[in-house]
Amino acid sequence: MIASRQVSRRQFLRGSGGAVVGLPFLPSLLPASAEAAGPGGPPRLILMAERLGAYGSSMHGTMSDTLTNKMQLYPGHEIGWSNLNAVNAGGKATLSPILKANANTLTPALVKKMNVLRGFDAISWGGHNEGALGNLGGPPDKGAAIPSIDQFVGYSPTYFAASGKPVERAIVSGHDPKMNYNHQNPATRSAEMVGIRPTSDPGALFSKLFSQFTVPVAGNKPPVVDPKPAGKLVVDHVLDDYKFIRDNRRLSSADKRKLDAHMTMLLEVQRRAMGASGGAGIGAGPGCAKPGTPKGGGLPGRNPAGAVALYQSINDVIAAAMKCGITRVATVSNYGDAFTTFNGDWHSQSHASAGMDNSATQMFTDAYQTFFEGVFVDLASKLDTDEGAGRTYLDNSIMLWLNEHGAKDHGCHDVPVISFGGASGQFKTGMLIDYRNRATPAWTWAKKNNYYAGVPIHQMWTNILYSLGIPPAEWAKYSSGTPGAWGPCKVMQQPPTKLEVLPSHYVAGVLPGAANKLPVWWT
Amino acid sequence: MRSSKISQVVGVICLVASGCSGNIEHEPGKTGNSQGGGSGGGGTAGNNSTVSLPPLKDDTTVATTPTCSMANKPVSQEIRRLSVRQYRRTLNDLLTSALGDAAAGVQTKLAATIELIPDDAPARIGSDPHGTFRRLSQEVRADFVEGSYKVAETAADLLTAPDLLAKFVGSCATAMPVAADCTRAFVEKFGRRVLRHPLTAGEVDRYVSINANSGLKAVITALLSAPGFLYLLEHGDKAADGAADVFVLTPFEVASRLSYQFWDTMPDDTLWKAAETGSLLTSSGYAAEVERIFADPRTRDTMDMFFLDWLMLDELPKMDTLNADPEYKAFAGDALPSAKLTDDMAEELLSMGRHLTFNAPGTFNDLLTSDLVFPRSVELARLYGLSAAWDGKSAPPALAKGARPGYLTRAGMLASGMPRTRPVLRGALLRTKTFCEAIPPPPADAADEAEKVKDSIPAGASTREVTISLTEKVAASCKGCHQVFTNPLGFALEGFDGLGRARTVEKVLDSKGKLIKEVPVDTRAIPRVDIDDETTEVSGAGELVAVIAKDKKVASCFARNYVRYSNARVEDLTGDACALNLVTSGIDKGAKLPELFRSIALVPSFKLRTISVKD
Repeated sequence: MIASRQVSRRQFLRGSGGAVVGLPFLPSLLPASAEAAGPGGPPRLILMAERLGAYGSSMHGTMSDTLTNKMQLYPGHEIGWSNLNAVNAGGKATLSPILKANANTLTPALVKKMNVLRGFDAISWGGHNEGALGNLGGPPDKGAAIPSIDQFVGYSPTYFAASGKPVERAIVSGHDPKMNYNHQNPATRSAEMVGIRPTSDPGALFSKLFSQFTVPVAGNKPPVVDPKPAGKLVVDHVLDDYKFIRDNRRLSSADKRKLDAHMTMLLEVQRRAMGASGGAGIGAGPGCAKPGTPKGGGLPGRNPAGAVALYQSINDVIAAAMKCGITRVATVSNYGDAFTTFNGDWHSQSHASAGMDNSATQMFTDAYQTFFEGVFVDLASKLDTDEGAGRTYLDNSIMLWLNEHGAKDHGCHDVPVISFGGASGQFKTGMLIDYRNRATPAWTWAKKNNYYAGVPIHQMWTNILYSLGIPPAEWAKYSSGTPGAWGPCKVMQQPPTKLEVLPSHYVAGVLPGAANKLPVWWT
Repeated sequence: MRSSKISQVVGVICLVASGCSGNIEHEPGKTGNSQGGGSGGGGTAGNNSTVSLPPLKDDTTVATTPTCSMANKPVSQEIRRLSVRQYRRTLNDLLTSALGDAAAGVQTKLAATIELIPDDAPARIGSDPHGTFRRLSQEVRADFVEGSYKVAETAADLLTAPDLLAKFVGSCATAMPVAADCTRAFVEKFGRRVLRHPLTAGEVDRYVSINANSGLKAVITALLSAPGFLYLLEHGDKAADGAADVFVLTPFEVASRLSYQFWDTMPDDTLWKAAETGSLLTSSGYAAEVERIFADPRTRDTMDMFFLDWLMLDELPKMDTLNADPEYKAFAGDALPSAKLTDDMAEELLSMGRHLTFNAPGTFNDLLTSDLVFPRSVELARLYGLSAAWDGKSAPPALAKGARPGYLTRAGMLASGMPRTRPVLRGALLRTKTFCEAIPPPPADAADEAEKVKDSIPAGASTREVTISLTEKVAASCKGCHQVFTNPLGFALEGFDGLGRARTVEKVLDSKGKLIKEVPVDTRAIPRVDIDDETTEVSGAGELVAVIAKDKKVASCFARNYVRYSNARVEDLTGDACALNLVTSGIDKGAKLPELFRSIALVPSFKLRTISVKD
């Protein structure tokens, strides 16, 4: 009965007798034989992003002063790299003022799974680029209508199929509403871009993901979700109602687009509710365990300890969802001001932190260090448990933490990128890789201020997509400037000033090469 | 930890300073009759939704928009999603309509599920970082789709429980499953109120068949998840004269327009009856319904929402945030704010709107110039130099005539919650929110410019002096705009401190709260309300407001905001000319606020819809 209903729905969606009714074709409706998921699935993607950012020297310290290896990325553009070595003192493992955590958590073994990646420039927008999750160019009102990476990956037909159609396409958590974006109709990647609100309540997140979840008896089996039979049917009835309206009532083209988007989302609700019977991910791994019900509630104001506790509860849910095959994509966003006790305007302080006011600089250093240790390292360590075949869940993931600002406040050079995990062995780890061209700085003012041109951050995102097995054809519609690169990879600053990026800052080859695999990083 | 003078002001600069080209643009509106809609005109985005629309290129204001005529075809606007507020109110009214007193129990049990749907956020328009009415957040949101579906499922469970089944469905429903005839009667009665139109036989049949296949719970869930419930579907009736794609709304669609305009909920029984009998289509019947609806207490709530979003009262800075800061403590003195003061400030402005709209109707000019204050707490009253709070019932107290006229000088519009005022921000808000003028974004090196001069600012400098140093004694890219567009307006308001208290002297404090210097406040300015007026000087807030009140763009800006709120989309200066001119001319003629607000329903296009099949 279910099968025939699904056929019926497909026919409805695609139109009968060749008459396309305009509703999207949903990859979730592909027959199972069309999928080609490997036994382990593609690497998981976990992104953490924070609005604003600390002064660059706090993030990177002096790490780049002792690079042991160098090579010419392009003629005239020398990059360097070396192994990461944390200094253990006072119970802390320290790489820089911000990259510092309890030595029992940030162990040498975990440091070997970490990378500090430097020299990625947000060339398509400065100031508040708001692109820390890859929606380069900022929100729609700033002109760049591309989704954030998590949404693109979650709705990628290739990635979704290879992942075994997990229940949740992408967890969106944290508390910055201007980080995650997707098309209003994500299945067809059409209609305007809309914001996706994060969930900052771990209780709500738990309820959404685990309320109907039962851990399977044997490991590595599809998770069991108790579908509501009535729920499956009701969505069909709503679709019938809409089809009647669409076919028989006067609607504008815009009306139809809007209602199509609604119905697509409703189908997604049903797909999730159907759980296992509709495909529910590669399956629960050996570490799968239903987490305890977390305490509900949102952020406790500007209270670092409270914020850490809350985000760690979110981490618990994310880690369990990853291990149980409920999802393979998650984001955690943060505006930044939850991790400080400062009572004033946090945005103003971000400017003052850029060397203008030492107390502000320290304040930002403390807040971002707290996030690094309490949230980023916390989730990495929670994922660093055995998944089989000698690898951990973390090993089979790529986990990134980005800030919005680059080396200086609101600057777009050297946006910090910290990673854990090697994307199932595809990336080398335990390294500082500095893609900045420190040998020949392109402009004197920047040199004086320790600014160096690197490579477009688009190249980093493009490499991430490569590692996830998503073919470039899928993101071609979002690629401009450099063919094949993710996003609008072109210098878009207006007006060009000393804080901005100019094409002349880059040696020949850098911008056209933004779709290339980054050397050194890949194994 | 401290909030330094520099960082306070630097932050302000970067929020509003301008990479000035020497031109000022009007806030994004549109010209031409293109596809509108909260999201239809451009992108929208989540909690801080955005509506990307081209800026108004010329300097036209509403006063010079095309004259209203029947040639002004209604703006093509995509169907409106119920706002989350409208959804909640509609669901409550629907249950009350069906269950009477018994609805309360269901409403209570449903509340937790409904609350999981986040409220709409004010939509951003173009470069305006502050947002506008939440009604404009028209994007299809996954949390709304999923949330409303869960609410529908939960409601179906509750409404088919043995204790409610017969009351909700009818005495024929003694137990589940419910017979077809019984279901039919239920669908005919309940379904039409859910879908807001009498159901056709085909529609009834479809829902009855759901019962046969899946049971009554599925019928209720499907109804409460239907597009016709969650969206204001308007298919229209016949084509309007002379326009193939403009349709006259059905009486039930008109009824919904009225109820959602003024109540944010479904039509009540009286309005439904007027649609059923056709009296709503007569001039007298329609006018009577508009009068009745506006007089209904529910309209007060909806007008509160207009004032709340227009004045951005949800975004007032928290007055008590800096209470532990020594400088702030010393600044506030015995007025160190409670956690409640911010809400009191917001409530006062809502009270002012209510008073002039409903209690003692006044004009738009009264809103700009009234000496009345509405402090509901002693704490707020003391900021105005009064000893007692207003009781909310008797005549509100009046301050000395002209001392701080109108809403623009109420504490909620002025207070920064900081030891220093924010003259740049005050000026920018006047430009954007009161004049509907857009300020270009800041130059990228704004902070660097400030950094260059910060060390040269003397310790005892007043806020005005600091602002001038940081914004006018720097590069032309900063100076050009600040000197003209924002600073003078803000300086004229320097007679009110960071808590909105009147002052003649500014006490300049260090970060420990130690008095550095007392500086007489200088409120003289050439405010350039009319940007071309380089000579009119004001001595302070009173004279500034007088200049503002005379400027026609202020009235037209108010009209634009109200039309925007009413239509849940950015106004189109051509397509909305009738509505805009009606409100603007009403202001010119001294019409009272209720008349202005009601007038939106009297525009011919209120009962029409353009339905374009072109992409």
